[in-house]
Amino acid sequence: MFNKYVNNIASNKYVNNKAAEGPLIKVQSALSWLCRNIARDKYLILLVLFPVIYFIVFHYIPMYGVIIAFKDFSPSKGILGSPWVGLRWFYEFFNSNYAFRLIRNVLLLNLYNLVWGFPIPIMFALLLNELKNGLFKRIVQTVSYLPHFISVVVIVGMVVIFLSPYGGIINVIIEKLGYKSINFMSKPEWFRTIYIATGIWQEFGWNSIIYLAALSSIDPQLYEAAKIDGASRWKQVIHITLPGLAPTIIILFILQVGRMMKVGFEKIILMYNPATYEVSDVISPYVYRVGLLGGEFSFASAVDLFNSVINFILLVSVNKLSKKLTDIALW
Amino acid sequence: MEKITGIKIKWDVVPSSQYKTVMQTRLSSGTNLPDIIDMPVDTYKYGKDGLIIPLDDLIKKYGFYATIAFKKKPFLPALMKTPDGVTYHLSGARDEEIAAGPYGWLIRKDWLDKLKLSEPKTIDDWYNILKAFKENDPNGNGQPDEIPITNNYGIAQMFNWGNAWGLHLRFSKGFYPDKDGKIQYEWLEPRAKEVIVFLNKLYSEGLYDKECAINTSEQQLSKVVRNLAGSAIEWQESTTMWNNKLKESGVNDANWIMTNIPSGPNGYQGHIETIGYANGMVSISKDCKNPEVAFRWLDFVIYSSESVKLRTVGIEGISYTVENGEIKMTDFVLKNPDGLGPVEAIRSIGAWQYFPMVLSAELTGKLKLSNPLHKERAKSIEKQIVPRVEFAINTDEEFTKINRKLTDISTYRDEMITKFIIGEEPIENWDKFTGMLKSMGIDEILQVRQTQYDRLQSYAKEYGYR
Repeated sequence: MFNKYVNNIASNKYVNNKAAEGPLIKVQSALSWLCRNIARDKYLILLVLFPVIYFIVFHYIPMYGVIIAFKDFSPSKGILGSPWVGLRWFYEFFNSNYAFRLIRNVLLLNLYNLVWGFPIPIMFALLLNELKNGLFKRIVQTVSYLPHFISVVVIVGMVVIFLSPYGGIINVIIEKLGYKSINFMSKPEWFRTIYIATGIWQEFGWNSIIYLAALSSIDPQLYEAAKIDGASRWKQVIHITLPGLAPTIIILFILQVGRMMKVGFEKIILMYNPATYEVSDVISPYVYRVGLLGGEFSFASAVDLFNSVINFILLVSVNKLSKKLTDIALW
Repeated sequence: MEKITGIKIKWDVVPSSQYKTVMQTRLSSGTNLPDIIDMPVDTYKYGKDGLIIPLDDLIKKYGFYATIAFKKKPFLPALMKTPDGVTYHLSGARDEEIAAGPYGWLIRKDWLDKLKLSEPKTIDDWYNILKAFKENDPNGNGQPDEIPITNNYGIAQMFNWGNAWGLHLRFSKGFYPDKDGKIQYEWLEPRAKEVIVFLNKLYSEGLYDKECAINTSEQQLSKVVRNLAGSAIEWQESTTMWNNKLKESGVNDANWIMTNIPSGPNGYQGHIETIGYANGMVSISKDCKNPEVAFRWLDFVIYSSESVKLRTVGIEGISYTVENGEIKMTDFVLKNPDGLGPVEAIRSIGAWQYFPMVLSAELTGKLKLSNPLHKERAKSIEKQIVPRVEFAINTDEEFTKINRKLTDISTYRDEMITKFIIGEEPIENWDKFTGMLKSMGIDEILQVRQTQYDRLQSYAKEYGYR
């Protein structure tokens, strides 16, 4: 009884003492914990530091410049000194002759890209995964992602030459087959096809890498178990490979939707011409023409901000939807 | 240049294709500006913002060569003057360049000779010749692969055909004063429709390059060198390089020449526009520590006859020699080892750069017309050269009023004209096109253009021009 009492006092006292010295000890222990961790993971931290700095410098600091979308920006007055104009630039954009066309073109290009461009790397990865010959697999893989390293300028140059009605290889083949040659680059109906097909050709190998990585993380025991149960290769793909890939596919899909309003600006500039404006003119070259070349920075950043906001809304809503339906989400 | 002026220059080099973008960004942030800037856009806005300094006092105090040049070319200071009456940049002048090596219709003379045709004079002649080029296999390879006429700069270059109808669609962009000095938009005239009908006829019969909407100068050159093209609209001096390159690829009798400017169906004689009176805009930035030195350097480099000579005909001993006081171009220029035309050859040793230049017909003539045939041809079209229309610099109000409208209108115009020419849009819709131009606000633009035109005329009077 007495002992218990003493113990209680002691423990109380101990608790009290700890409370008195608490913050100091906590800080000290936290510090030493931090130091130990830094010492242990110093290379990892160094590694992650570069991307963090990159995002701060190139993606977060410039965000404050977005406020010029609501101002009448003048270089000498600076960003803070320029007068506020509210939503004027947004109204002007939506009242301009081409706003609707620009938005429609971006969305359509991205929609087609999603429909055609998204599944191809997945299929390619699956097919590659079924290959048993290691050397052949590596060669196919390397060849498929080589185009990723060619600059857009060269790609478009090649496309123009291949599709030329004067001795372009594609038209030579069409003529050999007995059809009339097609003037691809001046036909609005061909623009989207060319844009998306070349994009797929350039990127499908590269994009398949991430799926291949995901595939390699699927437990081989699952396959063995399935084989013992008598599953064909087709069944194995349906019941093991695809479910194993699903999280990766969904995450990448969400990211892709978050880029719906973005289009490779360089490629459009290189590929479009007056004959195809109605399908090829999109927001980014418009921002470039009016904003940078015309010197209307506020207007251009308003248009660009609008673009990003739409992207953001799309990203958040698709993410939410996915979380509800599949329980897989970015956050 | 450093040797003559005694000033060391630190060049800030940016790839030419990105120059405009880079410079705009630097100007808009207002930091990290070089002392001397080759301005990519109107200088007025940045001048008023205080990023670049006014030059009027400097011109008065130190503009030794500039004053002489302005006396000879009073239109030049008028063009440099902003609505506030302040000058923020210096430009060179190129009014005489076009006469000394003009832009115009080039044709394969050897093809004409082969098919026993004479040089085209009228629009109808052109049609017949292009048809003959298409059908009679002048390149002799047994295939109907000839491109009777090719182009450059996409559709815009085809607007030159309007010159045969008395229109100014290319360099003046359709804005041109009528004989009472009232600015018109010539795309609204019925003549413009006639031009497009003609071009559509050429295109639909396969006489115009099928890729006319997308051609760049590289593509044009490749068609010329592959011995496919029969004619083009280009600078006369291109003929030298084209002939050389064709010879290299084994076409020995290739003979590109400059031919007559076509006259139109309504009896109009035809003309060729100059590409603009002033060239380049150079300013001094607020960060310049010694504007006086910078200005005196510019004054010398742009306007002094010594510098003009150096920059036009190059270095004595390399690109030219002097015999009995006469400048003679060397073989480096005339028969360039790399097959370049005269201007390209000069450029390869550092002269003739894209920096304001005052061109004197005497010197440019020496360079570009070193070939007697060129000289004779240039002379024959000289009287058909007309100046492009010029306008005074935008005020802020004018800029906001017309800038985006103008961008939208030219986008729409290029799009529709391209469709009319390649037959995607039936020509019956022409009235819809002109109606749309009106509803997009062409009248407001015309009003602004009129005041700008009048303002420039009054400036010019002030400087004693006309």
